[in-house]
Amino acid sequence: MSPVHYVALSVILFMIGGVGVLVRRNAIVVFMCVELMLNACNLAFVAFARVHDNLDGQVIAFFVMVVAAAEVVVGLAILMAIYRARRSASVDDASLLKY
Amino acid sequence: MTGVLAAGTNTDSVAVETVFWILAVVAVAAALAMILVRRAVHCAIMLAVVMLCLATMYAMQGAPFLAFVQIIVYTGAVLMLFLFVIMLIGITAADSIVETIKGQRLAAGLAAIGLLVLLALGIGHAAIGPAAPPSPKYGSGNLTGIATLIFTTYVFPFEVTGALLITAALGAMVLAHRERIAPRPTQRDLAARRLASGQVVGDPPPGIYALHDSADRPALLPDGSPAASSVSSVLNPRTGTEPPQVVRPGEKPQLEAADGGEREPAPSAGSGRAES
Amino acid sequence: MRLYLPIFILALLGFGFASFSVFMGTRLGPKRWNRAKLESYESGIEPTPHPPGGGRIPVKYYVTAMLFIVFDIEIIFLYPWAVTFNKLGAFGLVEMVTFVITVLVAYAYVWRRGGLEWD
Repeated sequence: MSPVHYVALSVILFMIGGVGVLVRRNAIVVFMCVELMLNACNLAFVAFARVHDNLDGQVIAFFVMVVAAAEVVVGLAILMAIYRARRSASVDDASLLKY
Repeated sequence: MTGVLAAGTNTDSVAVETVFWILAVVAVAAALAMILVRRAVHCAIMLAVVMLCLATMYAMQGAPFLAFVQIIVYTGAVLMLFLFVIMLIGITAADSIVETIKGQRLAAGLAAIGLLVLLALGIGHAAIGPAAPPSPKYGSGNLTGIATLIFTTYVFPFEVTGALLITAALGAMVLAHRERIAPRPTQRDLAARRLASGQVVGDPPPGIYALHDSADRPALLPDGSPAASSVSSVLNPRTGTEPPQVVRPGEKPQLEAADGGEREPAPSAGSGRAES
Repeated sequence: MRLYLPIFILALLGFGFASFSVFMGTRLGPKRWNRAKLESYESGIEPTPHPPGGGRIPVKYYVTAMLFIVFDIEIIFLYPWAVTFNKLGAFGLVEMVTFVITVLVAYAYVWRRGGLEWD
């Protein structure tokens, strides 16, 4: 398999994740779509690491995973705090920031 | 992995291609399903499918360590945390189909197609070379190679990750942890509270001293009255409150239906809740 | 391919055992169905049509699960470090001790704040 295929797949997955972020209203699902986009990026990193014949891309993908895990912890904690205050996980209900 | 296989026979590379196309189709289908299904739980399951496909692809591209980190950290821990939060918020919670902003879905779709075209053009113009030939660093030496890089070249990001972990723990504690306002009741407090309440022992489980031990049959209290509190609140307590049938050894126990009519009605004194 | 051979064999064994057990169970086991056996719970509890409380299930330990991820990442770093420890030498030891101390700060904070207590 040539790396182009992997990069193309990562582009498609990234796009699907982006659409999910834009379209979905449930904050958890939006969050999962962000994770999908991060995963798609990781796939591209690994593919390019193979093209350039060094492991730096894999290390970066590893750090992306680590940062994503920490981000999920904080993000879900924020979601829980919002849910406790508003009894809803919809992003429409948490729009008071703009007023 | 690809290269390792490609170096082998031709059938191996065909096998790798087949696996790639199967996984690619499954991953894209699961990702599409993820943004199309309405329930958050189903989304999480679909995301798990995508992540497992990607883990296999990492393995095929000579990143076995990443493949396992993907499975252990992402699918194992992060997605489980997602599921926990979905359980807390409600598994039946589904997205509303109403569009909040008019024409937003159409705009999102157009933006996505635009992004796809841009990225496709970019990739089409980029000269992405062929995959590197197989070497030990894509197989048995992968972990050592990554470790050497992390702990030498990327030492600073590695140490900063520690600070990131502190931030994550801090965020979890500040945002999700409920601070205890009153001191935690000790066993002594709990015992004193129970004695003061008047009911020293707990509620009887259903079926105690009743004719049947099914879950919807209230237990009989010492005075023969049914204890409605012994039946789970989601069940309707069955109103068969006859006192327990005494069966002496050697005697044949009578069936309830046979003599139910002849016997005197059970004393229904006590809690009337059981009758309702 | 040789690197993943044990995993493939293990997966094959696991899959084979599971499918063999399920298949043989349907073949060999006696099938005498009645209404009670077809219920979700055979113990007499009648299942409610809708999950109580809108399907919300209290997961009291979700803060623990969040903290688990933090220390999961630490373990993920420890594993490659342990494999290359001999090669890295004293430098590796120093940097890992620094890292672990940093994470221990988080641990001490969580402990002090009461995040590890079970309610």
